[in-house]
This record gives sequence, C-alpha cells and structure tokens, in this order.
Amino acid sequence: MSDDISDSTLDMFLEEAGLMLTDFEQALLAMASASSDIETLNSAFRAAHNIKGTAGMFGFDRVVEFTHEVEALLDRMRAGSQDINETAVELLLQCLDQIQRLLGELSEPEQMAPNAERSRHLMQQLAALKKGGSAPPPVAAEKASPTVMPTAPTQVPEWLIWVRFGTDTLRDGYDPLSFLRYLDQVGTIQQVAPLTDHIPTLVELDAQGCQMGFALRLQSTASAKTIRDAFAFVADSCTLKVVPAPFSVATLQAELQSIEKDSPRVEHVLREIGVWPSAPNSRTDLPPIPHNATEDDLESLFNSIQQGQTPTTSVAPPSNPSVPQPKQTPAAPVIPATPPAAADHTPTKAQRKKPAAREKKPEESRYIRVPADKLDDLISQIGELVIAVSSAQIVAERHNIPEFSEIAQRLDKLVEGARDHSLRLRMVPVGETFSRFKRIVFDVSRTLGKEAELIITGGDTELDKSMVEQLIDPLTHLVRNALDHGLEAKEERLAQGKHPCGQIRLNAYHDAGAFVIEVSDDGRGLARERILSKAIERKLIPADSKLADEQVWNLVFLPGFSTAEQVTDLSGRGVGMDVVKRNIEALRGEVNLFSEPGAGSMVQIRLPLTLAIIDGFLVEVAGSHFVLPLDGVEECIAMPDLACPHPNAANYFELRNTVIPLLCLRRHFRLNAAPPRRYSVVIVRHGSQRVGLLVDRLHGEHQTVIKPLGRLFNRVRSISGSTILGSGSVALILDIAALLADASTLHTPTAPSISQSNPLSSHAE
Amino acid sequence: MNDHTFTLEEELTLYQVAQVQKDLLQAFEQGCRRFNLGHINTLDGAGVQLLLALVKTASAQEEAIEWTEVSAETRHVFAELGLEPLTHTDIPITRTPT
Repeated sequence: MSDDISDSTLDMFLEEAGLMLTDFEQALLAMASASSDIETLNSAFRAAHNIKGTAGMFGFDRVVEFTHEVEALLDRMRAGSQDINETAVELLLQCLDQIQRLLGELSEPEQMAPNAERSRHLMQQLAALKKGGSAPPPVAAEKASPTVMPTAPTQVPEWLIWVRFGTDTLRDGYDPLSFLRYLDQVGTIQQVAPLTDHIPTLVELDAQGCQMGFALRLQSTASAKTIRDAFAFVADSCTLKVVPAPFSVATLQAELQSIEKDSPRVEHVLREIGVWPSAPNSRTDLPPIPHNATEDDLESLFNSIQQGQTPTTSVAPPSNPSVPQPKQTPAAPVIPATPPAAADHTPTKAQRKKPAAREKKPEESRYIRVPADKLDDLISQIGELVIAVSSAQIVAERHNIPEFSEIAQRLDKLVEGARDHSLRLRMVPVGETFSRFKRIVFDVSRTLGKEAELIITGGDTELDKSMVEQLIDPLTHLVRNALDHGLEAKEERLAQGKHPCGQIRLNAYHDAGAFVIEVSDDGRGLARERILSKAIERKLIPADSKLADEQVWNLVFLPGFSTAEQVTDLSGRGVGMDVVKRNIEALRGEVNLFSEPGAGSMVQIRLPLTLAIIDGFLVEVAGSHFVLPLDGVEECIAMPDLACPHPNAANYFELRNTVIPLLCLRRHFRLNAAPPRRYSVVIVRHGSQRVGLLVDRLHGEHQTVIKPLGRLFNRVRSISGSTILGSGSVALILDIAALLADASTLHTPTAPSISQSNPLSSHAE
Repeated sequence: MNDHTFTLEEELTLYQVAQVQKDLLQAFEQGCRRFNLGHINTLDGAGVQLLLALVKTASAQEEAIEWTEVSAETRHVFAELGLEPLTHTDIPITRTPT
C-alpha cells in the first residue's frame, strides 16, 4: 500500500469499499435467488470491478490481485462460459468475506499471513470452479456464417456496432474482450473485425493503454439502449456507434464519418463484417469517400445527406497505393430486418454530439457524501439556535414589544424549519441495514440445515443514522435466534402442514412518533411451560407465580435465561436477549415479545425517531418544568374541581366513558409547593396504552434540544433527559413509557384494564 | 534474423504486458522473428494488443515474423476478435489483419 495516503483519504476509501462490498453482497445474494437476471450479475460484476479499481488506486495490491480473480469468474458468468449455481455463489460470498479481511489488514497487520493463506486457498477454488465450469460458448467466428451476408432474410434485427475504446480502458480494469463476450449474450455476433490501425509499433506502444477497437455485426432483439448499455462502464471514454439494419451507404457514412476519418478503411472493415451494400439502393447512396477527404469535405457530405441531396465531391481520388483497397467481396444486400421500435436512428447532429452516458451524470451527482461529524456539528448549532430563539421570545413577551414579538415568532418558525431539515439529514432508510440480514439468513440457515427466507417490509422507513448503527447487533442476535430456535426443521414443518421454507420477517414503521421494528418468524412459538419451569428452576420467579403470557415471554430478557435444549454456535448460551434489551433501552427504546404457539414469535422494538431534538410539550408542576414528547400527547383537559388525588384514592378517572389511569406528577416526583388553583390533565399515549398526567400548568409546544442526563441520574426512572429553556432554566424530559409503567402499578385492580392488542395479528401479516 | 525462438509465458495480461513489451522489443531488435505462443493460457485484450504491436513492428520494418506454436487459448481469443489469420503457425506474418 502507498505510504503517502492520508488517514482521512484512507478512511474515505475504506468507507467507500464497505459500501461497494454491501452492493456486492446484495447482488450475490440476489444471484442465489430464482429471480436473478443478467442485471443482477452485472451489478455483482460492477461491484467487484469497482472494489478492484478503487483498491488499485490506493495500492492495495493484495486486494486487487484477489478481486481480479473474483471479477474474472463473474466475467465468465457474464459470457455464459461459467454456470451460476449455489456452489459458485457460496464461493463468491466467501471471496467477498476475504476481500473484507484483506481490507482489514490495515488495522490488523498480524492477519496478513493467515489472510494470504486464505486467499491462496480461495483462488485455488476459483480456479477449480473455472476448470469445472460449463464449456465455453462457441466463439463468434465459429458461429459466423462463412458467407458475408445471410442469404435468407431474417426476422431478428441486426446491428452494426463500431467501438473504439479510450486509452485508459485497460488501466481502468476493463478488457475489450469482456464487452465482446457480453454482446454475445445480448445477441449473436455474426462477424467481428478488430480495429487495429491505432496500435503502434512496440517502440511507441503504451502497453497498458488501449488502442484497440472492433466492429461487429450483431443479431439481437435487444433495443439500441440495451446494446449501448453494454458499454456503460466505459461510456465516457469510448467512441461508440450502434447502427440498426437496414444498412445503406448513406446511413453508414453518416453515422461513422464523425468518428472515423479513414473512409476506405471504414469501408473495408464494413465489407469484412458484411454490412457494406454492394450497390446504391437509394438516391442518398454515396460514392466511397476519398481517403484524403478533409473535415470540410466530410461536413459538406454530411450536410448533403441531411438535406436529402446527392452530394458531389471535388476531392482528389486516392493516390496512396499503400491504402488497402476494398476487397471485391460478394454483393451485400441490404438486410430486410425491421429496425427495433425502441431505436430512433435518425438523430440530429446535435443529438449525436451528446453521448448518452454523459446524460446520466446529473442523476449520479445528486448525492453528496458528508462526514457524519459535520452533520452532528450542524445539529448541535441548530440546537443552540433553538434555545437562543426561545430566549428571544421570552424577552419579547416580557417587554411587550409587538415588532420584536413578531420577529421572534418568525425566527422561531424559520429555526423550526431549519431544525427539521437538519435532522432529516441524519435520517436514513433502514432498508440498507435490513438487507445485510439476507446474508445472515443465507449463511445461518445453511449451517442449521434449515430452509429460510427473509422478508423485508418497510425498508423505506427512516431513522437517525446513529441509532441504525446501534441496532445492528441487537437485530443480528434476534434474527439468529429466530433462525436457530424459532424456525422448526424442514421435516417438523412439513409434519405440521407448514411450508418447508420458514419465514423471517423484518418490518419497520412509524407509530405515534416512534420508530418500530419487528422481527418475527413463523416457527413454533415460545413454549410457555418451559419458560416458566426454567424461570422457577433458576429462582427468577416464585414457584407459585401466576403470570400473564406477556410477562412470561418477557422472562427471556432476564440475564442468563435460556431454555435452549442444545447450545449451538449461533445462540442458546443464555446471553444475548438481556443484552438486546439493554441496548434498546440505552437508545431510549423498549422491547416486547409476543408469541403464539405453533404460529411464531415476534420481537417488537420501539425507539424514538431521533436522539437530538424533539417537539415537546412543556408543563409545570410545583414550579418545576417538564417536557413531554409531543407525539405522545393526545389531549389536555382543565380540571378545576380536581384536587391532587390522595395516595389511597383511586388513581383513575373517566373520560368520555373510558377509564384512564391518572398519575399525579406532583406526588410522583415528591414536589412540595402550594397547590394550584386548578389542575390540568395531559392525556399521553404509548403504544395502545394511555395515562392522564396531572400537572399545575400547561405551557404548550416547545422545541426541545435533548441534553443527556449525567450518570448520577442513571437510576432515576421516568426521566429520559433534560433540556434548557429560553429562560436558562432546566426542564426534565419525561419518559412516557416509564410513567405508564408506574401508573400501572398504582392502578387499582377494580379499574377496567386497557386492553393491549396483540401486534402479531396486526403487523405480522 | 537469428534462429532464436522467443517463448511467451503462460500469462499475457495487463499485469505482464509492460515487462513483456521490453523483452519482445529487445528480442526483435536482436533479430528474433520466431515466437512461441504455445504456452499462453491466459490472454486478455492487453496481451492481444501487445502481440498486434509486435506484428506492426515487423510490418513497419518490412519483416515477417511467425509463430512456432499457438495455444488453444490464444486461438480462442484471436478467433473471438476476428483475428483468425494470426492463428496459423509457421506462416510468415507481415501485417495485421485489418
């Protein structure tokens, strides 16, 4: 590796390579599925090629050397000379892991030796696969008709493809032969001729520069776009013409004169591949262009063609005897094939000057990659701005200056917009993260000898990127657990009348200001009695416990709890579920488990959308300020006649014929101050549960910049963070889930319970 | 011209062409006109281009070269590119096919 690469550049490369490997993995996994198509294979090839090319730029020779072999195998697959089967895909996935290891050598140089051995072993396997692959397809020349043109008319459209590759094509890792082989998959190459005239002698040759090209006649039902797309990787650097039949002299000259100046040579090549008509067949057919024609002559000729005139030329006839003369080949009739409808081959001159590949650039450059630190700084600044604007509003109200109030309000709106936009910058769809579990399901199901598929829904649902990253480990554990313990073996499933292939589902959606992820399976479900007996055996619960299903399921989140009959490499060691719960709670989230015997289980994770700024609802209790997440606030009710309920009184009230638990925050936080003239109740909701919070005063909506609490407050329940108000005072952010749990414990048994629907029935479909 | 035969090694790809170019040039300048392509088992576009440059070099000096052996892989690749005239052995080659 080059020593002069800066750390930041290297970090950028490694991050880029990580994304490329993700693309590669997704393409390989798609190749393993029945719905795989040529585009999937192209994606895999493109990803491998990009990894190799980028690694080469940074001097990762070991990565380049290894990935080259992988790319070669994919290229053979593209050319049809290598079968795409499960063995090949599994080997390619192993190779992908190896590329990842090779990239990791930078941070773990001690891994170089074992990695080299692994590389050697895998390269041997690649070579063995290559040898054992299906027979290469007959080469173009073997398939080509010995006659220059087919004698019978054919219904399959024909195309002339004329391409000269850019100088850097080889150095960029592209082999002209690959394009030829790929075209033979798009259609059938009838005849090919190399364009060798730009290749110099050995002395002048830039051996790693490309001076080659080729012309070929292709029979294909593909559209012009598909054929052009075959050259998409080199579109910016190559000169390409795709001309549909019928081939007339006028068409050919009009198409090629802009890129080829040596007209006799062009004619010679076209005759070789059988697309040069023998006799004029229309009023626009032209005499051969003299080899010494100038650009002006050609321009004039072109204009004549455009205007439908028969051009004349005053250019002197060829006098150079060294110029090869056209062969007197048999007459080449115009192919009576119908040009494909998709191709419009009468472009204007301006259109021809605008290569299709370049038109893609604006689409590609719509995204800018920005380091996460910069976004964090921006959001932090916006947070300070929110507080400053809040201060300005207080000052405006205090001094009662209408103009100032108006400006402060406008500022508040603008800052709110800026806040929303900046927070959105950090939001990423979870689909990309979900996709990586396809590999886990692929690998683990094979290890366990089970059939399983991963179904992803709600991949577009967005979540703060920092949270997405912290979700990977818990989700990995949950998916592995579902595969290992949730899904039954194939035989067991068949015996139960289930499909032999089990399903693991990952589902994401937004609900009441929360982000919800569900990991479910259609396996055997949790065994209630086994969980209970295990919990009693381990003295986690008293032997005479009477627990509801939900409470039983949640026992599995206790540290050290495991009912697995057999400890496997994957799970069942009794560690993990408690860590999952701890990780989720560290994100201010909660985790719940639902199960139905024989139907499957589901782990539901609820998380706040962001960790930075939220829309809050500010309330006051005994002179202290509290913020409730606005998304959880349903309504507010003034209750002038209600005193703070006595500790022994029923902690509930009736609202529109519904009994709702009531929690007096004054008592809950043991705040002593003179009671207000009247109380207000804020109805908050978490999932399907509701509780009324009794407060002294409502201040209304408040943009809340979340400040974490110190470690000292780690054990304080019901409070998830703090914020600074415009006045400079501190407000505590209430944790609605914890408050609900507290309200439940205060809830008298006589009060009607609020039913909790089983999410298995609503989301696991 | 000398009787020496220059034998190309198993791989003739982008990774070898720079070195092989020097070796071929040196051999050619020393009068070598016979080249053995029989050992080549991996040949890519860069390798083909190098061989065509060799033919061009001979052609520019109005010399003929010949292959003593041509491997199956070389024949296959040449045929793919429409370079069948270059697959014959022991026949003087004086110019590139196109």
